[in-house]
Amino acid sequence: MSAISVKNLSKYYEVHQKEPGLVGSLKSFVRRKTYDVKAVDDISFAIESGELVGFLGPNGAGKTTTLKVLSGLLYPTGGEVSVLGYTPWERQAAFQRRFALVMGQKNQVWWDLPPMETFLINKEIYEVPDAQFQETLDTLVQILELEKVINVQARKLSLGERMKCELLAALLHRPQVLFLDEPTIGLDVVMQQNIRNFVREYNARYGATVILTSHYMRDVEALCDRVLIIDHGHLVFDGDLETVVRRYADYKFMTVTFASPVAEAELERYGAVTSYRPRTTTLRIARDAVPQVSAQLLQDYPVLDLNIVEPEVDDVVRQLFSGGQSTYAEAVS
Amino acid sequence: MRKLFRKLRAALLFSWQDALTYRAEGFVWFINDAVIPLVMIAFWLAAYRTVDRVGEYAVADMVHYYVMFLALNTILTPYPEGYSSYLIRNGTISLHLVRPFPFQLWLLAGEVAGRGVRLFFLIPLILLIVLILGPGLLDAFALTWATAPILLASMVLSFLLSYCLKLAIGLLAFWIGRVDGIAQVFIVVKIFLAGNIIPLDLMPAAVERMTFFLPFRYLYFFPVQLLQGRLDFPSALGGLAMQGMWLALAFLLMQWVFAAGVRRYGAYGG
Repeated sequence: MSAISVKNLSKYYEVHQKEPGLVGSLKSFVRRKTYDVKAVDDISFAIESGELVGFLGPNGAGKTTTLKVLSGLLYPTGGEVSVLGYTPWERQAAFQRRFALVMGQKNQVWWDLPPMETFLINKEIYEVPDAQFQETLDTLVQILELEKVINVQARKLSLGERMKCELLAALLHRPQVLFLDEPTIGLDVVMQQNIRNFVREYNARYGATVILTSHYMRDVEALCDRVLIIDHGHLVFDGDLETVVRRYADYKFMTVTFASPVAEAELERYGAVTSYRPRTTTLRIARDAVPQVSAQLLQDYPVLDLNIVEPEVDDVVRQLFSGGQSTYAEAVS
Repeated sequence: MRKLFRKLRAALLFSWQDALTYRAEGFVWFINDAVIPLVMIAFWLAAYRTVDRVGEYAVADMVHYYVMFLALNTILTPYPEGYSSYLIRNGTISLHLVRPFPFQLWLLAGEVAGRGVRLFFLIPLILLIVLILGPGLLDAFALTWATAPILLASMVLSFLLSYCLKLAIGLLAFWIGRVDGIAQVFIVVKIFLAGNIIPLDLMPAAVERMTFFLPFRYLYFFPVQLLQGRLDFPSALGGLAMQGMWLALAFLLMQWVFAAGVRRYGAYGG
């Protein structure tokens, strides 16, 4: 049985609409216009135990809504969901003891007390046995390098230290399923890397199923073999990142270093020039035309070096998101 | 049930540590609850210069009434409405709703801890008042061995009654976002009908009769009556029963609002 199973999940919201300005506020005070938003619209997927899956999508795509349904915070408008065999929105304590939700923009570590106090209260709330608590605490403190901060008032810690404490607080009961909603938001690149390393290690060490949402492609690239791309409430892709690139990027980049300077206008015959210096130029070339163009360039110019690379996943996904409805329709078909 | 008590005890110890962090803020809130009784003591001391008795109250009874009212008001008045509505408004309640511990109990632990810390301010203030007004003030104490357990029970029920009513107001944030206005109306009504301004038995007869059928009478006025020996044993038991009934109703109301609110939160998000 899959750790997480989602069938035809839909979640619609009713939202208020207000015209701009004071007049709009007065109108809205008397009568409010509402409309339905399809935050999630008929999506299905299954995640096996121990998988580390990335949820990608622009703001408002439905990523967080899906996570909230999976963690039991939201009732779906339609569809079936099972997490570890439980129906999340029944919010049974036995289910709640087996998963954790970390929201990068919401804190559970108590602001005015040292993080250790939050860890101790979580130990009681999640009914963690003493020995297991101590062992998990020691392990996680060591991995996250938190020895010096767990007894310092949380408000005195840096954002990165607090985020690591958030992760620790969420994982003390060794959840089998971990929902991470933007866990690296606002962190510097070094701390983002630390968090990624930790998530990967936790997944490997405890065999936990992890779903990660992030705006940072680096998070997903570094951690997830599989991604679910969601936009406008639709699941537009389910597979590995390489397939995303192959499917949605019909081009490659070719960087050529010439023995002598070549004019930019000459090179435009071979493909779109994305970066130009007289001796080293990068061209964007249609995927199918790469063998032919490279052979032609080698024949036409004295080439010292020629390097062909796939586009950055980040760029591909960004293009996919900015492609509009036609792209989704195409992707789904 | 044992596990639940263990969690509640842990939440209480945790909340005590938190409550002890903000001494200055705690003192300001304490003064907020103490100021009306203190002003009323000054008012009645001035009024009694021209009269010996007002109703059944001699000057010592009246001062005693407000000192006891002050004590109960400061340690039995929780404020769950502000924090609960804040958590709902900014969505942080999500983190509480995914934990295997009821949000209502988590908040209750915080309120109990907060009131406990007030004893650090209350005891010196009572001693100061006794020092200023003289030990004769204590003569109005008329608690008996029979009514003392009823008083203790009534204090617990009073706190829980107030907690349930005010949390029900706070939870309205699931629908309306901000509850400050409703909370303020509740406080104003309570000030008049709970006996903050005037002992309820000095109010016009019709108004006093009405207070028997509202919960406010049982928050402070009823325990103060017990402290002053104004109720015989059957009346004390009757009062306790009324308090228990109001608590049961307030609890059911609060639980209903919570369940409906979480359903709405679940339906519309946060």
